[in-house]
Amino acid sequence: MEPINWQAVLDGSLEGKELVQAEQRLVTDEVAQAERDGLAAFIQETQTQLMEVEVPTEQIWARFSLSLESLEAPVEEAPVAEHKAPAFMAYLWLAPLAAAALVAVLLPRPTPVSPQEVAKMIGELHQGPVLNTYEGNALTAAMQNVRAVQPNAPYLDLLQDGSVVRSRRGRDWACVDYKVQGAEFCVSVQPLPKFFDNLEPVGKCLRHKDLGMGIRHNKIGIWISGGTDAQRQKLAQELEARLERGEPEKMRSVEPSRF
Amino acid sequence: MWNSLPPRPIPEVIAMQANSILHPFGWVNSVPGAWNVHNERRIMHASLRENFEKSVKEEIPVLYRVAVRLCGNGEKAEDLVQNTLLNAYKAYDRFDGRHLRSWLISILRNEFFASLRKKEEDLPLDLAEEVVGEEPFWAEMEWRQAASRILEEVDKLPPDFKMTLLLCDVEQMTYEQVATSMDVPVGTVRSRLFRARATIRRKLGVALALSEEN
Repeated sequence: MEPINWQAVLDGSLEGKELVQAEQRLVTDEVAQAERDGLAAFIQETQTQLMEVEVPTEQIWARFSLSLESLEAPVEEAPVAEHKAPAFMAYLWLAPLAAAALVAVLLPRPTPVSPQEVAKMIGELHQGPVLNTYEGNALTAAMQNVRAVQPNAPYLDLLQDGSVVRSRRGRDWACVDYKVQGAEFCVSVQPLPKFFDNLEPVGKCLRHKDLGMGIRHNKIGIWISGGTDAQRQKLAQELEARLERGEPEKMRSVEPSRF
Repeated sequence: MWNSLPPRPIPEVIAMQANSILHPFGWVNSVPGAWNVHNERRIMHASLRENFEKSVKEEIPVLYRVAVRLCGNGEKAEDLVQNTLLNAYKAYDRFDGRHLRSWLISILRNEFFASLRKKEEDLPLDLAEEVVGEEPFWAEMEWRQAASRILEEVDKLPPDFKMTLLLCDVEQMTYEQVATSMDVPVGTVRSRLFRARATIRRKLGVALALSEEN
């Protein structure tokens, strides 16, 4: 008996004599039916197993958008036509530009950094070994993690209706992961990061539309990531307002961690 | 004879000349001209980006699933998808509008093999010819029992076989679409799929037999 190409049976590409032979066997032969069903079960199981991958679509898209911004930055045009106007008039239009350039040079300003470099700096925020991780729902324990590396960090009780998922700390940084209405946010404290100078000011906060919100607090940088841009803005502004008012004063009761 | 032909006008020069005639301050012709060219480019970029976002974003899950299996971890997979998207964006104005998924996957595949060449990684590219023996072959396996090992065996396949299996069995693409994305004939897709499935089946059989013995 000739072996049957079960793959071709399932994908419908079997034709002519072979198709007739396969159909006859499927009617009469239980082994043939089991073969076809076995291959179908294998395909089904493979699909189930390989589909179970969590895809960070938004993260990938945000990173891609950032790369596009630098890709699409305007490039200087090469001169394409010869100028026939009187020489002094040709440069008249430069006068306001020159004045603006002079003012710009005299004013103190942050070093220009490309959006890609800013994204890279944000990505490198918490690299290095994690010295401690706390999994749980206790804000005090999470704050101990924070205070262990940043003794002057404010009490990050920014989410009245949220819960703490975990906290981590490295050499000079600490993060608290919160869950608020199903969305996860990471609030980190570290020495004021350089990229803060290159973020867009929104009120007293600093914004990167794709990656997060920053707050300057004394010499500490508070960085909020996760959720959507609108959610992050809301959280950052609430936290900033509370820090401004100096509340809550629970911070005194939290001692730096000894672990 | 062609020495006597007048030089071909350069399109940008024509635009500049038109601009200096129409502009009330003709003597500053180079400034508004440059502005217009830049502005047009900006508008073109915006519309290109909008079209690209509409069509390509929903393909990210497929690209990522394929990339994860090819690269073996999420971080490298993200980089691979990232490079794929950037290259696709740069070439988007040349895309003919048919089979977007196949087009993106062909870019991803090229990127993957280019990165292998850069790292001089030596991966097996072919499989031994699989011959399905006596029946029962497929019916013999208890698939629920073997499920957890399927991933392991898929990861051991050579890249092109792995991609064929993923695209056909997981992403449910047609043989024609897979053939386009991998730049091979449809017959090669069928044969690779057959060999990939049979290899996994045979290895799972051996692994399960061993574990039962132990």
